[in-house]
Amino acid sequence: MANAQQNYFELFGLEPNFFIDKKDLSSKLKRLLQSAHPDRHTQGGSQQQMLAMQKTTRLNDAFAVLKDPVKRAQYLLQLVKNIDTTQDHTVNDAEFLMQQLELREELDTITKQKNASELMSFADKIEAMAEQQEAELGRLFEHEPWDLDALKISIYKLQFLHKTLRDIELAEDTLLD
Amino acid sequence: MAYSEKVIDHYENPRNVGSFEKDDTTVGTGMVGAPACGDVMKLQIKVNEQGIIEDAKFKTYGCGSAIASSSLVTEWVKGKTVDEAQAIKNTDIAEELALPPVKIHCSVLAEDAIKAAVKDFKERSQK
Repeated sequence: MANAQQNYFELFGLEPNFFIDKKDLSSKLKRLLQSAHPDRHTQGGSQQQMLAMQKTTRLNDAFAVLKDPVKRAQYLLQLVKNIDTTQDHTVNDAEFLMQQLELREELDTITKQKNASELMSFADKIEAMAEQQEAELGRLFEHEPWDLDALKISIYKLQFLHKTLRDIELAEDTLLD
Repeated sequence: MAYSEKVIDHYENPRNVGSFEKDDTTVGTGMVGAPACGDVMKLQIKVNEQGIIEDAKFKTYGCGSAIASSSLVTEWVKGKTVDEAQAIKNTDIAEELALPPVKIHCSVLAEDAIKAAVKDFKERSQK
């Protein structure tokens, strides 16, 4: 049985890498969860069942991190360079932030007008921007030695875009009600 | 999470929401953001010839505490000199709004926003 010291990538039999096949990751999770299921360990007594439960939790934690490009990038930087990019801090890239503010304003307007088709095309636009940002992040990780400052900036830009995507989901819920 | 009454008051009746023309040389604009929560804050000051802040406006996309922090700061800076405004501490904001520890970063964001606005004003008025 794998020990708790394995990092999230190792849990899934992967090398630490930003590039991940999400379908492969999902099917591996399914398989690993099945073999770690507490019901399969009833013979081993409560100790074994406890371990199986811990394994399940750790697998789910690992999956949540690895499937998300922001969390995966942050985890990778922590793992390889011991750099924590998850702390609250302020960024002041005025041009980028102004663009983000304008996008949120645009979303506000669309939501107020209850314009579902506008909301769809706005969602497409932001998704395309997020994809582009994720691709840039991937290019930066491919380029060794890593440009740490550029990586940090690329991660936080993706975080703002993801926040807008979450806001879009909320707007979709209100429009559909 | 329970917000304090002051946070709710600023959240429900935000003071000074809006914008000034950012190319105006009497205006300073501070743009800051917090990647972890995705909050974006714009804080603007309008400064007269004596270096006193005559008016302030903000626009914040974020949680109630971030909105309240920036709303409070726009109230506080009016009538202050730019240097006095720059001396505003996040701890004062957090104390006034009774922010819980997990929301302290919202007050930090507001402090950073007013500092950025003063810096922008000083840079542009020197030109």
